[in-house]
This record gives sequence, C-alpha cells and structure tokens, in this order.
Amino acid sequence: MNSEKFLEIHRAAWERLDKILEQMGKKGAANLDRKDLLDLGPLFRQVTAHLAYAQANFPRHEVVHYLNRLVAKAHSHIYKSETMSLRRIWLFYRQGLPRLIWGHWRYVLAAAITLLGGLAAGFIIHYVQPALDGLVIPEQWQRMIGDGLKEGKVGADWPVNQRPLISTAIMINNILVGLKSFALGFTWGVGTVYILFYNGLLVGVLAGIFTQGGYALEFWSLILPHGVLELIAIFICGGAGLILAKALVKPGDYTRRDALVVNGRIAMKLILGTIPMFVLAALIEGFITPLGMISSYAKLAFAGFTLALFVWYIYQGVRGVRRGNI
Amino acid sequence: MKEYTLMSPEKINYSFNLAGLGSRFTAYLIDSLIQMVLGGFFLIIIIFAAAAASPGEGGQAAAGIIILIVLVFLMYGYSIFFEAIWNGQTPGKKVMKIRVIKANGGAVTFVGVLIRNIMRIIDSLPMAYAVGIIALLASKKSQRLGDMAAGTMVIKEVAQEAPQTVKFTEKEFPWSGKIKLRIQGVTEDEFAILKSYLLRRDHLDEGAYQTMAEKLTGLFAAKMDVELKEIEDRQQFLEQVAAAYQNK
Repeated sequence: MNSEKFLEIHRAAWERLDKILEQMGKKGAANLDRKDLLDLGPLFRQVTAHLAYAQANFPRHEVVHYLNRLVAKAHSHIYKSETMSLRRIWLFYRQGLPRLIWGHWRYVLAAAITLLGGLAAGFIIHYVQPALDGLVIPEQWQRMIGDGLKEGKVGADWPVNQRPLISTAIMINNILVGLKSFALGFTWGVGTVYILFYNGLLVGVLAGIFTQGGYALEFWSLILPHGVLELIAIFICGGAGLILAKALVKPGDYTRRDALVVNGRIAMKLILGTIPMFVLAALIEGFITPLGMISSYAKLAFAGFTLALFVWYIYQGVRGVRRGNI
Repeated sequence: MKEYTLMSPEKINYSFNLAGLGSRFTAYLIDSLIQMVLGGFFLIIIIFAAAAASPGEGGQAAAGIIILIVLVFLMYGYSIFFEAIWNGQTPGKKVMKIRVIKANGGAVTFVGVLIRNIMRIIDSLPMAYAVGIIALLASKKSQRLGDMAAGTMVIKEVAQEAPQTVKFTEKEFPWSGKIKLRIQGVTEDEFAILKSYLLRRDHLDEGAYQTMAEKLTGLFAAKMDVELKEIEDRQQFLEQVAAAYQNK
C-alpha cells in the first residue's frame, strides 16, 4: 500500500481518536459517549499498529510524525494507573500506612536515633560546656528563658484568642520541617541527618537549661503531650528521607535512577501519612497543652496515652498481615 | 528540540518532544504571576472581611489562620492541585502547551505530582532553581531532581492536523499508458515532493508556480519516458501522475 492510500483509508479513524482524546482531556473519561468509550481501546490499538506500519514503510513521510504525536497523546490519556477515591484513602490510613511504617521500621528507627542522639548531645553540651549553648540557641532566647525562669514561668503565656493562630503557624512550620527532611534525602541523606540532629540538639539544650533550673517536670509536661505525636511524625519523615537516600547510596538491584522512583513513592506515602499526625499534634498543642487546670503529671500521662494510641494504630493495621490474610 | 523515544506496551517505538528550559521557565513565571495575583486578591478580601465583621480579637485570629492556610496552600498546593486535576498541567503549562507525564508515557499519578512538587525544595537550592536547572540540562529526559524522584517528565504537545490527501481522477491522455506502465518506479519521497507541490501550488507566486512545475514535469517525464513536447499542460500531467500513483 502506498502512503496516499494509507492516508485515505485510515484518516477518519485518526481524526476520530483525536476527537475522543480532546473530549477526554476536557471533560474526563467518565463523560464520554458510550460508543466513544467502547471504541477508544480498539481505535488506540489500531492507530499504534498504523504507526508501526508507517514507520516501517514510509519512515520519512509526515504521517509518521502525526501518528507518533497521536499515539503519545493517547498513551498519556489512556494509561492511568491510579484513581483517587475515598475508599482508597480510607484503606491507606487504615492499613496501608501502618504496614508501610512497620515494613520500614529500620529507617524510622535510624531517624529516631539520630534525633534523640542530637537531643542527648544537646543535653550533655549544656551540662559540660554551657558556653556552647549560644551556638544552638540565640542569646536573645536564652535571656528570655532566663527571665521567665526567675519569675517561675515555663513556656510562653499566649493570649487565649491567639492560640489557634499560633498553633496553626507551628503546625505549618512542623509540616515544612518534615517535608524538608524528606526532600533533603536527595543529598545522599546528609541533609536529612543534619535537620534531625539539629532539631534534637535544639530541644536537648533547652531541656538542659530547664532541668538545671529545676523545671524538668514542667518542661517535659509542656512538650510531650503534643511532642510525642510530633516526634513520631518527624521520625517518619526523617525515615522517608533516609529511604530516598538509600536509593542513591545503595540502590541494590536497580539503577540509581530507577531506585529513586521506587523509593520515592514509598517515601512520599509515608510523608502523606504524617500530615494528619502533625494536625493532631497541633490541635493538642493549641488546646490541651496550655490548659492550666490539668496537673503536669496528668499531661505526661496524656503523652503516654498518645504513644499508646500510636502503637495501637500500627498494631491494628499490621495484625491482618501477621495472620496472613492481606 | 530534544526527543525521547520509548516503547509502548503495544511494542511500538514512539517519541516525545521534551519541553526545554525556556518553555518550562515561562510556564513557571506565568504560574507565579497567577499565584501572586490570587494571593493579593485574597488578602484584600480577608482583611476587609476581618475589619468589617470582627467585634473582638477572635475574628482577627480566625482571619490570621485563614490567611496562613490559604497562602501556604497557594504557595505549595497550587501546582499540586492543578497538575492533579488537569492531567499534569497548570495554567502556565497550558499556555505553554507543555504537560507532565510519567516517564513511561502514561498519565501522571497523584503521588507523582506530590513528589515532583515537594522536591522543589531541593531543586530551588541554593537559589533560583540552580540545582533543578543543572539537573534538567544534564539529564537525558530533561528532568529536574523532582522529576527523577517522581518518575515524570515534561513534554511539549505539538498540535498537528492529520496529513491531507490529494484527489484527482484519472483521465485518458496520449501519455496515460506510459504513466500506468512506469508508475511503480516512483518512490514515496518523489511522490511526497509532487504532493506538497500540488497541495500548495495555489498559494505560490507565479514565478515559483511555473519553475517548480517545469522541474517536476522534467523529473517525472523522464521517469515515465514521456517526451516533453507531448505534454500540453504541465499541471494536468502532474495531476495525472499523482492520480496514477494513488491508484497503483
């Protein structure tokens, strides 16, 4: 067959496919006519066959370009591997996320150790060489904290009506820190470790200052009720960063490029999972932590409760796998 | 323009035109502009609303929360939102006719969109997307780091009409027999030249119209073994060659 015949015979089919694709792009696949929808698959395969034919028989003809473009366009419309639905989201948080965390506990643990190591280091630094505090916490803060301690106050007294705003700001900041420790996995993990360690150091030095001042109980009761969830979320984000880093440092059977895509997806899902945790932590921080009428011990008990809640959450998601019915 | 060829599940090689730095940067500028306008517009509305409707300070705090969340959403969620609902396009990308797709040619997924946009944190290091630009120029698929992690690439969508056909009916001329006899010797490339002339001849100026006709007639007359003096009307001859070729 010569190119002219080829064009004459099949042109209508190509134009039809192009039109269906246009409609799909504008209104979505769900709004296609029944007939169009049924014809789409066969039509697409037909056109790919035409492309192959044209490539073989008239490689320099303009029709090759045209069909190539059409096939590429159809391809990016037809091959969709994932659709969003409420059920999928529910299943992800109910089972997918706990299993994912469970399956990658080594990374999360490594992130946790890094941050807690930083915390311990900060604590020790304050006791051994308090002059170094200034490297971690600005002088101005230190003075503010010192003044507060003299008056017997721990933590800032935020006006009640500003609390929601401040807690929102803190939440957004925390989520951004989490995202950063994930994205910085790209630096072969160096950036992730730095962020984790530095944030640990910060809290460690603060803890040192308050402990030395004799306010350890107040300090921890101020931090832990929301801090437990927040820390776990940061651990998971850090773990996600390390998973990304692993693809670059030790890609295993894949090339680095492919490992990056595989691990990137896993890491991103973990990050998605932490966002509700950050929100919950912020709500606790904004509304429960500042409550004056609850004793410090009760606040610590509440912190223990959130930890138990998290453990239960992982357990309920994983137990099905253990029994073998996925 | 850089091309990237891959094999489809139907085992056919096809290629994409990758979007270059220029079109992607322009799309980014357009999007930034839209973000700024939306942000400014929103700020004005919320400030007026808060001033008009708040008796106490509670209104201000609420306004603060809304401003914070909406601005952060505008900054970080804008690209994610549009690329997710518009199959890999933002308004800026739509204007520039570029689209994000998966590196295997399929439609981009939500997780993919999330990854490539969160990785902007890395790509924008140390300033002005320096890391991203270097990665984009260095990589085979014009990917910035976010694209690599998400397994996506940005392609240029070229709108193109289906190629035209020419239509002429075969008639009897003294040399018709010779054409029929030797038409098999005409190659696809030779016919492509003849066809592009026939399709465009009405738009050519008189000089080009005549010289091209003369050259083409010379070429095909020699091939068909037709004496030039036998041909009264060159256009007619060329049309007949085309018609014969179509029906061979």
